[in-house]
Amino acid sequence: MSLVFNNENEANDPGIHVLIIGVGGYRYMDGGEEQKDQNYEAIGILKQLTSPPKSALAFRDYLIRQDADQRLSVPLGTIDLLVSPSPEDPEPGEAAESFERATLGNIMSAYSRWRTLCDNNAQNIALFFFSGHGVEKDDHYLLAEDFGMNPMNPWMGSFAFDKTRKAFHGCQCETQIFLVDSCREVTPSMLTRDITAVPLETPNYLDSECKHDLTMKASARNEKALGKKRQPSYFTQAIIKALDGDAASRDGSQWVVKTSDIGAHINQIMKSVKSSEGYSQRCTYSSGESKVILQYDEAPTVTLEVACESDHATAMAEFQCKEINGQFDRVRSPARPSPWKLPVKAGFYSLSATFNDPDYEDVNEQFSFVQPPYTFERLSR
Amino acid sequence: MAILSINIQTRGSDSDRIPKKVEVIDSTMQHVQSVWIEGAQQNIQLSPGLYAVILELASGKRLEKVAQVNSDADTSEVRFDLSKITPHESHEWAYLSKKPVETKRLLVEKRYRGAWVRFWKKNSDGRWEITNSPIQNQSSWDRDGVSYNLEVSRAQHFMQVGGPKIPWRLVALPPAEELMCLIQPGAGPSYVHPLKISVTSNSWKAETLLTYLQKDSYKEARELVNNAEELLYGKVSNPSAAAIGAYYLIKTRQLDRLHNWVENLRNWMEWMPDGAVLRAWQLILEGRSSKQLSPDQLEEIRTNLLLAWERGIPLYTIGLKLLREGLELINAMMPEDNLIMKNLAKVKQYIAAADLQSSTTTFNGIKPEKPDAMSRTGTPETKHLAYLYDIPRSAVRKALNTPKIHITENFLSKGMNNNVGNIIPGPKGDFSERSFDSSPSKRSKKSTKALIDEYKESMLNSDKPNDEVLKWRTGRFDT
Repeated sequence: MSLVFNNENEANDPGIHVLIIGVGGYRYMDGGEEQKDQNYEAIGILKQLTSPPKSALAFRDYLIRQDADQRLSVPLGTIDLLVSPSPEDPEPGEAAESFERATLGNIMSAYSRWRTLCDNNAQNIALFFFSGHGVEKDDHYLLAEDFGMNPMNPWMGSFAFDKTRKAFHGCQCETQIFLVDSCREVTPSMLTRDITAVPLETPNYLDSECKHDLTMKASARNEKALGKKRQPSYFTQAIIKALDGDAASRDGSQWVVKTSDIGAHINQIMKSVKSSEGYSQRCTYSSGESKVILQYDEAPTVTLEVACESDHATAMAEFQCKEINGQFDRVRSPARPSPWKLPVKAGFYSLSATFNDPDYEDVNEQFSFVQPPYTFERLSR
Repeated sequence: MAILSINIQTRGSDSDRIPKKVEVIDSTMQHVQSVWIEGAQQNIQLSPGLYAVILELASGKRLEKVAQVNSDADTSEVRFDLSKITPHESHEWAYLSKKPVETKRLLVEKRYRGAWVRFWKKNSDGRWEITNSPIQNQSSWDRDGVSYNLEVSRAQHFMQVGGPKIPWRLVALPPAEELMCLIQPGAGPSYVHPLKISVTSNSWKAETLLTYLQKDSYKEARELVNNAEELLYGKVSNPSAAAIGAYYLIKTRQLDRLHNWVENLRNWMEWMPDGAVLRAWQLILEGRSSKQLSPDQLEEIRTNLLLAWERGIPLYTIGLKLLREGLELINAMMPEDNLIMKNLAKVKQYIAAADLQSSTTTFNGIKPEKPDAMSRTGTPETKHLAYLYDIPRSAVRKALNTPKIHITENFLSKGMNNNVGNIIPGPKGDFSERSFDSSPSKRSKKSTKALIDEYKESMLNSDKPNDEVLKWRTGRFDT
């Protein structure tokens, strides 16, 4: 059973309904449990992956934590989870934790159930998360565990994501979030073939787009999505950081994370996850009207970096950082040429740099507005 | 209340006019107000206190300042210096209104050697032809980017870039007396196209709106353009700005504000496919709001989409995507319609070859009617070719073997360092067997390669290219 979290009630109160799919083990591909001879020229070299199951589980755990802390704008309703572990990492979750496998059949069943739940209330939030292999030609094909079962037409084990997304606009719920953590490359030989993957649902072209859309992909067209082995992917880490406050903005008395802000900040947040990924992995997104999906009573924690105009001055300076409307007061002693990096709550700060060396002039009380996802201040007279 | 004066310093004379969003937040982190500034200075009224003033550019780049607003001071001031956002005044518009790349790569690097541009125009008979280069002499050539000033008439135009190591790519050029185009080295890995191309007219509000639309920032788009009708209203004088305004209204479903102006745009601007795409989508959205399309509506949508495609390729990426979606809709509802099916297949080829992140339609291809995601590299045998920055050795050598020897000699002698000296004609009158006087006292033989390399070193890296270099770079060498 793929339903791993169920807080659905009969009154159909608004809730977040989540479908999470993490495909690391490809049964019929190279290194898979029932490896078959494949025409790799036609589909490209597709390896077993250890990152997607970790990504799926990290995302599930994050949502459950946020729900427990009552930070989600509407409570968590259900989570459907499908995970196919890689043979290299057969137990990506807790010890002996088992999962419903992410075969195309299981994905279709879970999608259908999930869609019905989402359809129950316009105030529901539909959240779809896929991590695994993907290739793109005229649609973005996401590969299920049983991709390649029929080597004559391996695409029977995949589904057309873009059409599926389009079809979901017909669902009653006004807030729809689709996160796809997959590559979007195409092999030259794929260009000469008629790929036959079908969507999980057929679109109705008379359906209007949903009001609050966020459809985000981990990579730009023809590009890769990356991650370290046995760890959540860079994209998943960035999404979690975004939700955790890196994409937060002030709204009245609260800090909130809105759908459109996740998209707007995601590439910058990717850089903070892995600085070298700032360009080589470019996320793309489309969004509709903004919608609050998380709210925080406290200001989010932001990394503040402080430096002087030269490395030498930075090394000689004693830095001080004081919160304007709060208690925070921290000092860094001289001797390091690297900028002072410190986690602070978003807000207003007074920064100063003082020197024992008479060759340098002190910088007194330079105000700084520190806000997510990251603030850098260079102190100068 | 006290006054806070917000001052924005830029380099370019027109840069002030580019809209910039300024948001003010108080010390309790509450949003106080947002304003759009289309000038060098604006005053706002605030209660005394400490404020964060955030200036946001269309690219998403944000600059923050903290301002103390005092009741006793005449006027408090906050100053944003955007003049250092780029080292070149001629690049500034792209940083303020578009989303240029930030990279340390330079056009003198190996991969950019021999990079070229040429221009295509769709003639009244519907055929695409290579046209005279519209590059104006006041364009600027820098190692980190080339900024063209182009004069583009009211017809379908494409600029094509390519090179020995650069896949051929085409970029739609909206009509304008002074269209600006910035070509920079790309910042991406090898599988991303090595050149980043930004294009703009000086309709700054429309262009900034387009940047926001391209990244689905509807909130900012809505704040920027309270009245998109004003863009549509000017459709005769500025049809591309009108199209951008209409795309905004279509994307934000403000159908009642489109009036019949989209029809007029379609009828009056026959060279522009976007008007017909927009009219089709006005009808589609009207149908969607009533959840049905009558046969007459369907036929009218079909007619408009076919008309759009007959006219050519939409100017803007947003239009290309809407054209595909519209054709898909008609294809689904009229599956036997072979013409729709054929056009849809063709549009899909363009989409597959397109850079959907660009605001003006951009795709890889050999010519405008031949999109190809895996586009070829190399240098075409063609007239009106302009070299982007570098002038390849083979091109110089070829010129030297042509009858234009006098031009060539001038061209070379102007470019040579003092120690290279004068060209002495060879016995056969061609360049390969000539010797060179390297100094008055000492004669030595120099190879063609060495001479040309010395020429390139001295001329291409100089701040002011001479007239001959200008001819190569503006595509007027053979005219």
